[in-house]
Amino acid sequence: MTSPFESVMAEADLEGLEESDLSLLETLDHVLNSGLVIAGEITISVADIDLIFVGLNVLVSSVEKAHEVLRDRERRAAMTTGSESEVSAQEAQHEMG
Amino acid sequence: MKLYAYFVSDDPGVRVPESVTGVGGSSVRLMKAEDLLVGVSESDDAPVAITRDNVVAHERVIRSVFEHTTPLPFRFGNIVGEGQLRSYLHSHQEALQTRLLLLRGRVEMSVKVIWQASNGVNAETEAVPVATASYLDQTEGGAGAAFLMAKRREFLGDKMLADKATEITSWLKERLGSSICKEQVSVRPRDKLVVAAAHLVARTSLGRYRGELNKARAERPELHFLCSGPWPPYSFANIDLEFKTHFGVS
Repeated sequence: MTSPFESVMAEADLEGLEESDLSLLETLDHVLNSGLVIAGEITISVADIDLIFVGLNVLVSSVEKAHEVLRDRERRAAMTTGSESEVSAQEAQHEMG
Repeated sequence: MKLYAYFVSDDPGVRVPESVTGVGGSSVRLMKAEDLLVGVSESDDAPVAITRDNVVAHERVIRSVFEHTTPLPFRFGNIVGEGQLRSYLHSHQEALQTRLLLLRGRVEMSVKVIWQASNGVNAETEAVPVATASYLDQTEGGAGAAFLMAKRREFLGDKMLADKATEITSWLKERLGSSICKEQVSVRPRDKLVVAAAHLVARTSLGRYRGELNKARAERPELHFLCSGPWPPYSFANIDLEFKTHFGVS
């Protein structure tokens, strides 16, 4: 399924991006996608992302990574309460998002 | 109360300026554990929102240290209890110190190579299958032939893109190899951003690296380059592989 970010990426005009946009994209790519991780302890929320940018796979992969982490965390939380239907609903919501 | 972790350093002189605030405007302090210093700030247990301010704050703390020494940066969003952090540092001490030794005096430089549909690379991959299609249409025809033709076009296109991407990767390494200590390269032939490379470069070799990179860029005007740095070595901070290999953990 194509995410909204991938759609934007496909139409992105890289030449038209401002240097400050690229700088922030690079920061996102580094800070969200790599670095030391204490196993299982990444705690982030994508509910209120205010970073709206065009272009570059880096942002797509960063957001996908965030969704992946959040999905795992919610799955674990739902399993402890024994609610499988809640997991499915959350996954469906993320797929749509 | 939990801790938000920014970086690990083995430099006893490492300092975070008081004026530098962390995620959520929190103050940053150094926590000593084993022979290591960890930059942390107080945090509650709630997830950290990926906002521009928070991402920039995370990077700002690490960069304030990085100006003077090379720390091992944590990824955005590490929130742990103090006991858990100490336990992690104790159990991973050897791997962390080995990695800090590798990174000492070095920085990360980023090179991303982008090809556009109009630059001739993609046009080249489309030209061959079209010629083959015309030939098959005249000799075979039918739905089966059309299906096989589509698969053949897909295969040839993929192979040509992969070959071209590999060629770009090798060329870049050849041009910059003498000034880089280590590299992490991601090749994605089907994507617009075809090569993403992180180079570990000695601070003292930055001038030479930039000179070689500028020469290389001039050689390939058909490609678009996004170059940035120096960065704290985010792409070289993952110690999991070394830890698993050393201690036989899977």
